Amino acid sequence: MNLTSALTVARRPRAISSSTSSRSSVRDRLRLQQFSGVYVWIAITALFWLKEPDIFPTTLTVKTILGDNAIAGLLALGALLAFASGLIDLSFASIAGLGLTCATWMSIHTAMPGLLIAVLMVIGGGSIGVMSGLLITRLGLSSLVTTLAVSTICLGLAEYVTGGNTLTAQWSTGFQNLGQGYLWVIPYPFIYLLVFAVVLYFVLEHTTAGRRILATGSNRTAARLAGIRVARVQVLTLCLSGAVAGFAGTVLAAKIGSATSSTGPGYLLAGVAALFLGETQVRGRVNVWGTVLAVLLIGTGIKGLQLMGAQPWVNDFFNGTLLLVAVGLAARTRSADGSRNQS
Amino acid sequence: MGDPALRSGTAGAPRLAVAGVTKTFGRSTVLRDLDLDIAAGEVHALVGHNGSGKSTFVKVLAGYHRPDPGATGRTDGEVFDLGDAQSAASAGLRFVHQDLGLVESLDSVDNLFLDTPFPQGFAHRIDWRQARQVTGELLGSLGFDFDTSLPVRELSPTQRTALAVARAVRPGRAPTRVVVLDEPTAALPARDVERIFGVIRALQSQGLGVLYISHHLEEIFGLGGRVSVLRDGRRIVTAPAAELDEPTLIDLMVGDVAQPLRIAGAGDDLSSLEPVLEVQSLAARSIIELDFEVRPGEVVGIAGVDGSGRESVAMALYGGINRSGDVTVAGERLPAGRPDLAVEHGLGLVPADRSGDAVMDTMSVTANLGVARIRTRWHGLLLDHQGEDAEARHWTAKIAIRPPDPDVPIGLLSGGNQQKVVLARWLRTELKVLVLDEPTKGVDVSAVAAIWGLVLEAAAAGTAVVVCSSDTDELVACCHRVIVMRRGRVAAVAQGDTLQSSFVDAVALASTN
Repeated sequence: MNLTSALTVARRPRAISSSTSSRSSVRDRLRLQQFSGVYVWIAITALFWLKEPDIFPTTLTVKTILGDNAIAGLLALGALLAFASGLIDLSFASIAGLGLTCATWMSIHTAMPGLLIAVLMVIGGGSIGVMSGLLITRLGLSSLVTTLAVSTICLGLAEYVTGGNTLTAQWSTGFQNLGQGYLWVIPYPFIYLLVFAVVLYFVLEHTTAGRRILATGSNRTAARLAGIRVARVQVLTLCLSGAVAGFAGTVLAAKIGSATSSTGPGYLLAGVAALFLGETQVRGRVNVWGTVLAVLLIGTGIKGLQLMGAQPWVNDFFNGTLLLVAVGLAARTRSADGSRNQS
Repeated sequence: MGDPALRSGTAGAPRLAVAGVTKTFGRSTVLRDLDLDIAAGEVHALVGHNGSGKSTFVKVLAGYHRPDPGATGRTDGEVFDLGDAQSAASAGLRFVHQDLGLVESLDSVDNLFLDTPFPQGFAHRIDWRQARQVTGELLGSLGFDFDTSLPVRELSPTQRTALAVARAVRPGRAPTRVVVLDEPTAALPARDVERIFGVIRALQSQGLGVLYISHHLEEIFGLGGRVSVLRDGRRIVTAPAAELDEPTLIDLMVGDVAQPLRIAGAGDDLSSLEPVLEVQSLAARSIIELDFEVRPGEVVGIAGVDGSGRESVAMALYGGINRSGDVTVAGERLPAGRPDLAVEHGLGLVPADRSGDAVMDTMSVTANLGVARIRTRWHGLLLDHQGEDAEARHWTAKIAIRPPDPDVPIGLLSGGNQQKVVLARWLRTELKVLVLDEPTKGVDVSAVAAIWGLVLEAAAAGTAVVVCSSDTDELVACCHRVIVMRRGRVAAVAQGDTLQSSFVDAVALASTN
């Protein structure tokens, strides 16, 4: 089954609403499209299972897929929050990278306990987000350019911290376990991802703050004139995105136990791809579960290809292709929806 | 322009015939099994109020929307792929949309050849002389003769419309068979409508079919030809214009009789009440100085030509743009540039630019309705979904939103229906002052009545209302008094005996001639 053709267009945006009235069969039929990612995921899993019956269907595969993609998932959800408020955040991966190198450096050169370092990284990441947010809202800069610049600054700082070398962390066993341990076959980082996803879902769909974020993202001027303090909303989402990135960086530090300056930025594309692919799933607009689903889909695809003997370059190639497919689908969803007035 | 061989059409087949056109967006059906034909040389008028499906139908013809399966389209008897833009173009369908689609900084010749190759001379050099000549001839055939080297922004609205029509029918592509004119007169002064009729007659005489869409019923009767009435996505009737009269047509469009406009009692005595809104030395953009006050239940109009300051009053009052001076609501001074505080103090704004400033088009009607002072529970942290849904159902029924489904994204509603939702967004809150900017622009007759009905109802309940509008008639009909602005200042206040369109217009225009 071909991945691109199987990923059918998601249904039109089912904008925010909450009514629980009975749903027609039309909606039931649409679920096919809404959850196309699930079917594709089942299909590729079956494919890899049949092709590599010895090495694919193992607990090790499950562990690596979940573990490898927990960080990308956390970062994608952070970026999702900024995206929902109408901003493009390209800095999350480099903030995570800076968090990774700083946390690792601190584990070597200070006696601080790991949890304290994690808290510091969350605060640091959040502060960077606030800074970007203030630049964007106060000076009216483009979020794309601002976060790209901030991202490059973070990369530079990470290089300064590592001095161009690979740092090897010295964590306590307990802290290391927080990054490397498992609950049955589920790696701890993936549990963090799920917890954050639940919280974020609740915030976006069921809280006043979430409604304000989505309204700001839909039409900033209209939201402002309706009494929403859009600048505050946008600074807040970037702050949270940065904080999540700082957290993800620390988890990564505990998980892999070493740091180079290039590790973090490598998560940019996977995160963005998951965000946009997630937009086409479940709701037809940015949403938490679509993004989590997209992360798993991407992770399974890459892992399967690797097990079938694909070269390392396939990783980036696959991510890039998938990003194009995702934005393509999102654009098609929007135009099929015919989002303008009827009359 | 009409290829002579095509003028008579083929074997009497209509220029355009579509059948079985249904279009659904999610759960809402916008067009239902529509069919329509246009003969060679015929003007076929399509009428219907906002939300009836007119624009969707045009977009289906143009290939912007694909109709549900089962629809067919033919031009001169030949089948084309209805819902495909390329196919519609090669079938000879041409469109002049309401916004004309001209590039203002370019001249007429550039605009005419915007998307087709220029005539070329030696070594593919553009043959400007020939291009200019073609442009002149095309415009001449439509009865226009103006300097084609002027940038389009310097042309009159009527000249622009003619240019857009000329571009639609220019040679160099598949032969033109049908021209669709979507609200061509919406932006034109009334005296120029006859010139557009001239353009249409020129098209008719070339044997083309014309589909004419307009809110102005008198134009439909002026043009003759046949009229089709759309209502709720169905074609209710097609009849020669000569067999219809205006009341019949309105009945057909509206279904039920439109709610009559309730005129605010000019005799209401509100002078004993304390003003709820006080504006002192307001200055912003083109406003130099403005002072006025509004009492609870009072409806005050702001009139004036564009550039008089009228266009900035609503935003300046509300704090949407920078301003100086004092705006006081119920004794409390509002800081500038803080719409959130304006909302908190009981102000509401219905802005002029609906899609840019008011509507979050990807969000549902429910969310759009509830966005100002969001309904909450649990200390303001959580959304009150039940309350929100109940409120949305209440308002969709009360203000007759089409389609009557508060879950659909508001972007799928017609302009008039969107405007009603934006208005209801404020009416559901405890409002002290309602500020409206061009509330009925681009809205059809029945929605105009509904919008004013809601505004006057709010006023009757004690809300102070400020309406800025370029439509003098509606201000005079509905306001207690009208402040006429000229060059950034108050030129006069029309009230009592002077509350008449003739007075207001005379004052507004006085120094601009």
